[in-house]
Amino acid sequence: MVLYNWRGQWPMRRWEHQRIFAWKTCFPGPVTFLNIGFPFNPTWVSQLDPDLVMVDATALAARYTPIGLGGLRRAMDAVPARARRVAAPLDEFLGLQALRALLVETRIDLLLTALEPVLWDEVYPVDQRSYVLRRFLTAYVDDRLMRRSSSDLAGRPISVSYRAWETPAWLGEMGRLKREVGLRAEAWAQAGGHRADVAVDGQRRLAGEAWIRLLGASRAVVGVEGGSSIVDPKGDLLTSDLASAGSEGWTPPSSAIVLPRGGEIRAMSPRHLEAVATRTFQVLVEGDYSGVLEAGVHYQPVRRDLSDIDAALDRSQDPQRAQAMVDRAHAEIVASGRYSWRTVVGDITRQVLA
Amino acid sequence: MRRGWGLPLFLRLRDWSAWAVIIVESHLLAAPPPVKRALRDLSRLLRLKRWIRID
Repeated sequence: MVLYNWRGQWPMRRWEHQRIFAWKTCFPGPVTFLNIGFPFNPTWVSQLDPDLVMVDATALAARYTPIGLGGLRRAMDAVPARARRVAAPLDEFLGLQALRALLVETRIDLLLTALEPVLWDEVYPVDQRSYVLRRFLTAYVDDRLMRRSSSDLAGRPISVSYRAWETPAWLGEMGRLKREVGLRAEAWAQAGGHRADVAVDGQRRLAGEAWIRLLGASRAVVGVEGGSSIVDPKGDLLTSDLASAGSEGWTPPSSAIVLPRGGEIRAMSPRHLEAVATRTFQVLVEGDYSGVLEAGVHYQPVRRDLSDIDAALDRSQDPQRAQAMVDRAHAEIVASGRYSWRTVVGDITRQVLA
Repeated sequence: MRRGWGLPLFLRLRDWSAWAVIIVESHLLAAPPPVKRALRDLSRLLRLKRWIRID
């Protein structure tokens, strides 16, 4: 059984849809989905008697509101004691204390986290956890994306593309870079007479297949790791006025921990895997990318001050070199099946149901 | 896990219905304010009509 929580947003971003529903095609048995954002009867959960309950990041995000938290508790209380419980939060830097308490209260067996292992004991102290941790990416490659054919870079009409949502100040430098990298790519395209499809601040949003089509029509895409420069243990950030949190000069609540530069929480974003799957040349701010992407091999690295971004984008104009890099990334990351939903769901299932 | 089909089928139908509601909700949330206001007034009117039993 997969518990998730979704209301009022359609279309979904492709990777979010896959994260929830990939279990249907990849789990070796029948799967039932329960959207706890709508009224439900907890006896449905107990009567179904599932072997495994997967608590999706959207269901865990229900902790932000008393009503949502109540719904999640009712659902988890009804899970039979014999069922194995897996939770996969994506927003551990927000409302961390509530999350920790919830994981213990709901007797989670396995926690899937995108955090780097060096941060695990700090974020989930050993003496406070009754569950096992496992590294989990923010997204994996689904069957359809794996089978997708891509045109050669030389034949693509758009030189560079990018999208960024409104980046609030509480994301710190990570948020600033998300915006800046797009603006610099747009400036590069204008200066060189290249065609660009760049939008920042949440404009011209693309969801579902539209985003994949844009990547498939682009020679290059720019980007930076996802993450945050702030940890908010008490959830004060969520109760504070988020509108003012986007303005200059904003100061975080006293309970928030501002991480030092270079020590931010970082992870590879789903869009980076999508770009590999569409064989799009990636010009990315240097980073670890969850250990999946290797600088100079799978992507063209750019310094964090973006001083060499123009030179990096110029390399996307060398068709042979760029094509060799994207083909290699596709072969090692996508075609190998190493980061596919099928592989990870199989591994998790074997681990918890063994 | 139970192998019966009744409850899983019911939950699947419930999930599909919920997605239909989500799609309607997303359109309502994206609607311009006058449309939202008109729809809100309409929903009140229907409730009122039911209350005074004229429907």
